[in-house]
Amino acid sequence: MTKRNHDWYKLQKDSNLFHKAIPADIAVYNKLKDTNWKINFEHAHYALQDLLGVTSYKRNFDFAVITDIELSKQDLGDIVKVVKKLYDQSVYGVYVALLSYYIVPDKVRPQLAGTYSENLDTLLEEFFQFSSTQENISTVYDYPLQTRWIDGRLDEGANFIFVHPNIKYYLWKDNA
Amino acid sequence: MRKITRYMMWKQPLHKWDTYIQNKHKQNKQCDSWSKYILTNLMHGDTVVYNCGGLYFTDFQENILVVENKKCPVNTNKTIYMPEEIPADKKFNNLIMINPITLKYNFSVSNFLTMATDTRGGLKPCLVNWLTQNNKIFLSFSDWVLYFDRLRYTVTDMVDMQIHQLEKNNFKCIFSEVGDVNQDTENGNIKLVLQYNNI
Repeated sequence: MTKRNHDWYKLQKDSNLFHKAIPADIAVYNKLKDTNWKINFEHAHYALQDLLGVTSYKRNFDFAVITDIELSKQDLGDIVKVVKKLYDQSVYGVYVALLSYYIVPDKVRPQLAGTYSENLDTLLEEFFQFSSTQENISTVYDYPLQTRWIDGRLDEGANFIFVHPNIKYYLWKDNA
Repeated sequence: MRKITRYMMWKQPLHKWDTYIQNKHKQNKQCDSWSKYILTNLMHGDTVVYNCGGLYFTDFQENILVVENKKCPVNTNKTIYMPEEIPADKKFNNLIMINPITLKYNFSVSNFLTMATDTRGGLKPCLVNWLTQNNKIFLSFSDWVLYFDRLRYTVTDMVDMQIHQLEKNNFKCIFSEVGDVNQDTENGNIKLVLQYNNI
């Protein structure tokens, strides 16, 4: 997490732009709070671990959470290797969130015919094929300046994508 | 909200502001190579800096008018204007923008320059309306701020498409540079100098 984004999160909190936690963090919290799983937060924003109030396990963990926005700046192939490694080491699977504005693919794919959000779904479904079950809850919006005004406010950016990125997948193992 | 928090919120998206503050008490003020390039290539005449912590440029050149989209919550020794304070008949020869938050999430640089729209950084005026017939636009930004399909196009492809669209909309690109996005995060990795045919 860069200092700039780290401070931005604190600033937004200080400004009362949100209270207990941001909605995307709460969604993950609700999924994990009753599990008693040992969780790996090595690549997660501290806010989510604070919210769950649990220790991070580097080894012998049940589940891994990946929300660190800086990871999204790596080559997509390298990110998938990190996700797969944590998935393999886990008992139940991983949750991964990446930022659509930072994605660096291994190569461009001019043959992709959909919108950016559709193309991300297509490619990531393929990249995450190692997992038994994919649960895609991404909130990637196409042409956000034209389409994402809610109650007079631009949703993009206001939905805290710099703390909890907008490409969001649960990758589950069969026993989950 | 505390005044210091309001100030931090105000300055956070203005990419030249921190360097302006750091320069305040320096005798040898820090001027990066892109800023030097801009200052040495300005057209003769009036210059406006928009939405980037533009007081930074006033340390190196007088008669630069600074416009931000939101009022600074603390006192500054130098004047910062709001877009609505620029008289309709006031025109500039040079327009400078460094990583403006008003460009964020846009898909089109041409749209950004020619349309008055609401943005992530507040209401943005139609920027080309500020320009005289003889003009230069110095615009740099990070590719991270633009919406485009990163799976189908490289950053260079995207910039080529932006320039193509700009040229269809009465702009001429007289300089373009695409660098690594992790380098020069203050100014951004995409650097453009444009001329607008203000017909």
